[in-house]
Amino acid sequence: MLELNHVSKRFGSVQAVSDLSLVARPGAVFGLLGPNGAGKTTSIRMILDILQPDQGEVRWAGHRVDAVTRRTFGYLPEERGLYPKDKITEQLLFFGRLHGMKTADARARMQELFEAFGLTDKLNSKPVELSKGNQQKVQFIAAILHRPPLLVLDEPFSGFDPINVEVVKDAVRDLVAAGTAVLLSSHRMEQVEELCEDICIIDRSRAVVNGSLKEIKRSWPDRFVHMTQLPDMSFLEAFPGATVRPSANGIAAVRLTPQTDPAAILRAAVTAGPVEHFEIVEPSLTDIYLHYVKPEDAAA
Amino acid sequence: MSTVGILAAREYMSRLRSRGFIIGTILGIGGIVALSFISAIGSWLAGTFTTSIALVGPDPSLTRAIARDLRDDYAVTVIPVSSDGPHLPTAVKRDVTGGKYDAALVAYRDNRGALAFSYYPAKSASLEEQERLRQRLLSAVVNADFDQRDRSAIRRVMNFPFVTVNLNPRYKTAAEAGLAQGLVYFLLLLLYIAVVMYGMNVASGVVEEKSNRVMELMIGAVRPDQLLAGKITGIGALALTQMFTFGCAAGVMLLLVGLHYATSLQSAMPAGVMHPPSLAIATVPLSTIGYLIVFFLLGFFSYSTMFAGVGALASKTEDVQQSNGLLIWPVVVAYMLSIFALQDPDKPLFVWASLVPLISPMLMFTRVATSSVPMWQIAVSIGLSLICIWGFTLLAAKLYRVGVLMYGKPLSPKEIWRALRAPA
Repeated sequence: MLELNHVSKRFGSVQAVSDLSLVARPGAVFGLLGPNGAGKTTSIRMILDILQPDQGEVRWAGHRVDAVTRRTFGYLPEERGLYPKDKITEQLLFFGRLHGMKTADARARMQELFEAFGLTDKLNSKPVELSKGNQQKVQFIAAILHRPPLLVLDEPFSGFDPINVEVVKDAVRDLVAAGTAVLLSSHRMEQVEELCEDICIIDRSRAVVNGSLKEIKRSWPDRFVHMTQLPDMSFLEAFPGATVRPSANGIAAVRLTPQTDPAAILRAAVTAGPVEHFEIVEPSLTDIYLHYVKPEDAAA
Repeated sequence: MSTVGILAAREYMSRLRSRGFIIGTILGIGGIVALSFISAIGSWLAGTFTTSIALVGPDPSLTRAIARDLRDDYAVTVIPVSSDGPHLPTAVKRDVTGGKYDAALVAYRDNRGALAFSYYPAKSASLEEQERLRQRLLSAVVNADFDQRDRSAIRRVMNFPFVTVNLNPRYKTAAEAGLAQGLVYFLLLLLYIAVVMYGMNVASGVVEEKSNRVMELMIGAVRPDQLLAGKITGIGALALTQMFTFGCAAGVMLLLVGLHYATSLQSAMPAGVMHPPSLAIATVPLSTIGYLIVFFLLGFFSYSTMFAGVGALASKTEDVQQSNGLLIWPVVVAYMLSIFALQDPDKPLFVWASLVPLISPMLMFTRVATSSVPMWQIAVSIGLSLICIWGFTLLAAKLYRVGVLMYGKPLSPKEIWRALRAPA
């Protein structure tokens, strides 16, 4: 289990992370969210022992993370690359050995992963000869080659087409099923929502919400309705606090205050126009995120 | 294998197979082969550029005697016309200006009956060239104008005994000391090139890893100081491999060329005549080679740790080139001092400077190779260099820790200072 206990980090006059605490469990995906500059990368670097916290501590399996522990972790950074002119197999063996694998084990595992990712015909290629998507797959393989107990993924889906996003998601699910703790940092809300059981949203160096995604949704005070986007949605003006967010697919997301009865909304909507779709839903992660992170923060 | 070992092995193997290294090594070996044949090339070039002289003399026997004295250095053509003064016969002048000969030489008897010469080069002759010709003609004048007894007296005066006995116990003769200086000059150049080239390789290697973001993947597995140690060890081993290859090539060429000289030229040379340079190189004491390796390693590690720190703070190759320009100055100063020290290696300035880290690898090497340096000075020089390397390594590791994951604009001195003072 990964634990961050009241971790803080300051660079000069900039407070990068303030009093952050979180727990990432084995066999589950933990989502770390927040706008650019909120402190996600600094937190990840403290988890990986690249940076030392000014206060607090990072623990893995009950012990403080040190050089020996961090060597067992897997890390896929947001900005990543390979040696452009070296064969990918050589590079993967190199990374495997850096993580303490024996060459023969690393070779066998590499074969297995190349098959899973459909790269068996690329064994003798160099990164410059691969498509961007295949390069990303190789980088992902480098991060999981040594079967890490903790896998830290920073924007793992960037650069992948939808088919390969599914391949990577399946790989993450397999790792989770095998007991790996995964820490996922991403701006792609739908993927985080799909994979993560627990989340933490950081804004301006502080955690603004932290815990089980299901619990957060369940205890969310506002109600949400997805309904047919009518030409005139002004009937909502009769319900104080109701806001609407239109979408391109003809479905409007309506947020209601806890006091508003969704049945009353339905009745009013039917009088305003033909309603083909009406659904009471839990808040989406985007709704939660937008509730905590204000536009001026995201622009920072 | 340890983490540093794995990093060093990758660095070493990938650079060993790189086109740049292979081409550089082949060119270096080619240079060594060319240098081995330099005396042959020199005589070939000398043959190509021999001055051709049309000689006009006062009488056939004297003209032949003069031609004999000049033949070693000039292509002499005796013109079958007798001179009666310093003027150049019209036909010969036409040949010289027409390019048939490079110059004409008229030998004649002056008013007092003494042998005199007038030289008519097609193009202006340098003072050095004129003096060389005068020296060659001296013998002709002595032969023509003096009797046997006077000739011996004159030759005795011209070749009065002059012997240099070198009190430096390292070399028995001045010739040996001169050869050692020549060799050290060559090795210094090699040291200079190797330190600068491989030191810069360290900096550019770091920036490359930063710019293609491999650093990000590696930093998750290894500590920055391990990365630093692996890179410097790998590149240092590569530099030694290249120097060893050059050393082997030089050894083989020495054997080949040395054998050739030994069988042909050496036997024909009178005792005491200087050996051909290639044979002299074979007499390099092993201790000089040992010191070359020790001081190369000290120089390489002193500079490469500095270059690595700079590389860690830069984002682009251009930034590194700018900073390298500044870091190169100590190497240039060390090189210049070493060149001056070749003449007088035990001058107080050189003695003290040879203890200073960054300068000592070159200057102390020059001194130990050309003089008898007290052991304590060598020990202090090596010790101070080691302390300096230790300090630079700590500093570079710190810069590495804060710098390897920094991108964008280069850091200001204030930011670097703050980063160095930060705990991590």
